[in-house]
Amino acid sequence: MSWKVVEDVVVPKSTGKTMKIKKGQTFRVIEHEGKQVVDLTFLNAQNYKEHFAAEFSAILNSMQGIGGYHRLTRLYSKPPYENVMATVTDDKVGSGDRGGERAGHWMMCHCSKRLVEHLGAPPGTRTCSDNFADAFREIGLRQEDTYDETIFNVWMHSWLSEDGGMNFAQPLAETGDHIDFLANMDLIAVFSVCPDESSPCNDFKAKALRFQILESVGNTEPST
Amino acid sequence: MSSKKMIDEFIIPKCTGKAFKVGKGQKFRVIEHEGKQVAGLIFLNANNYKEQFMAEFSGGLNYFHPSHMGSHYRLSKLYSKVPYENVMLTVTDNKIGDHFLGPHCTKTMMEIWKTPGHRSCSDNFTDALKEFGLALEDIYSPSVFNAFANVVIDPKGDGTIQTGPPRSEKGDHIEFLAEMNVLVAVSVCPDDQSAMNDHSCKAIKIQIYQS
Repeated sequence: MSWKVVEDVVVPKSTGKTMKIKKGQTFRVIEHEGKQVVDLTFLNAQNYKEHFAAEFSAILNSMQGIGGYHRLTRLYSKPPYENVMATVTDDKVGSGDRGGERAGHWMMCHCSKRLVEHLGAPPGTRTCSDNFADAFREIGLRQEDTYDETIFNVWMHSWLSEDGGMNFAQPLAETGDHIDFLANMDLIAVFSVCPDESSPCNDFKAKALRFQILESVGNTEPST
Repeated sequence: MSSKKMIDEFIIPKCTGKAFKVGKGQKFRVIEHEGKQVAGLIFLNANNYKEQFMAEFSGGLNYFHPSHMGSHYRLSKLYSKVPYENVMLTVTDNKIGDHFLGPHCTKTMMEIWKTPGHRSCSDNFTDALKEFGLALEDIYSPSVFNAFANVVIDPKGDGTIQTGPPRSEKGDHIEFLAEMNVLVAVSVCPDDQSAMNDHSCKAIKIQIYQS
């Protein structure tokens, strides 16, 4: 299958951004320099109250045997909507191509002002919250009016230990690795290129990421 | 305990929802009325309904606090969402310890279990919130404080979930101190399809104590 590239952008390290994706288009996130996490959520472009719910999707995917907290196939919106907003159509890292004990994504939280305060970071340390605030501002939303806490942490190699502790390892994804999301409705992708340099989360160095919007050329649907 | 005066006590029938306010400084208990029954809890700032408890985030904030005051599986402080990030409540008594910081059950889960139209926590919360002029659309996250839920996330593979029957028996309770005026919405989970409530739905008792 070949692709027509509709949009192709490199988003600088430690920033947030929104992108509009039409139903049927594919949103591709690419490791530009490798081992960099993106914190990603989606809104229904026609109703911003209908947003992606990562934790909820983890449960629904787990119940269907198509994912869990470390990998997703179907991305659902929050109740009471509960629609499939997007479908993961290509995820080599999550499918085990880079090895690892787990699929290598994390349907959990991002870093915030309070979190880095608890971790002892200096006041004013940039967090994903700041990136999301900037991103939401692009579409006229304030963080008071939306929700970005529990999101799709693409390539975030985290897990819960038995005592409920949160663990981090460096991402499995290398330069050139990508993940594809097929839009099942008109979407706005809202994301933070994670600015963390204090943990293995981004391998101790914040880096840029590349994003593409693609249309499939010909009659072949993206394979799952 | 003798210094605490109980100011309200009520039973929430099985498979129903109810919302009530708890004042700053007051404590309230969620009590197993019959045992092995999960209660889903949504918390809102009673003075600003946009400030809502964030379940997963609180797990991380507890774990990474310098005093290591809790974790995803044993929460101590309940925080509100960004940009507020305030302590809304403190867990003051939790002998059983089990809770699940994650989604409540919904219509789609009932469809996956091949019982479409079966009552879910979404219905209970919708009923409970209606009394205060709120709808499920106004609640940002489907993740709640599922008291007594015995759920673990696989640390390997896809990160699937495993649900066991609650380990809480009749009379067991969890107690919260309200650090601000809060609106509490309770769903007495109507799931009889999974082990969540040991395959039978039961009632939950609430007690509110003066500060």
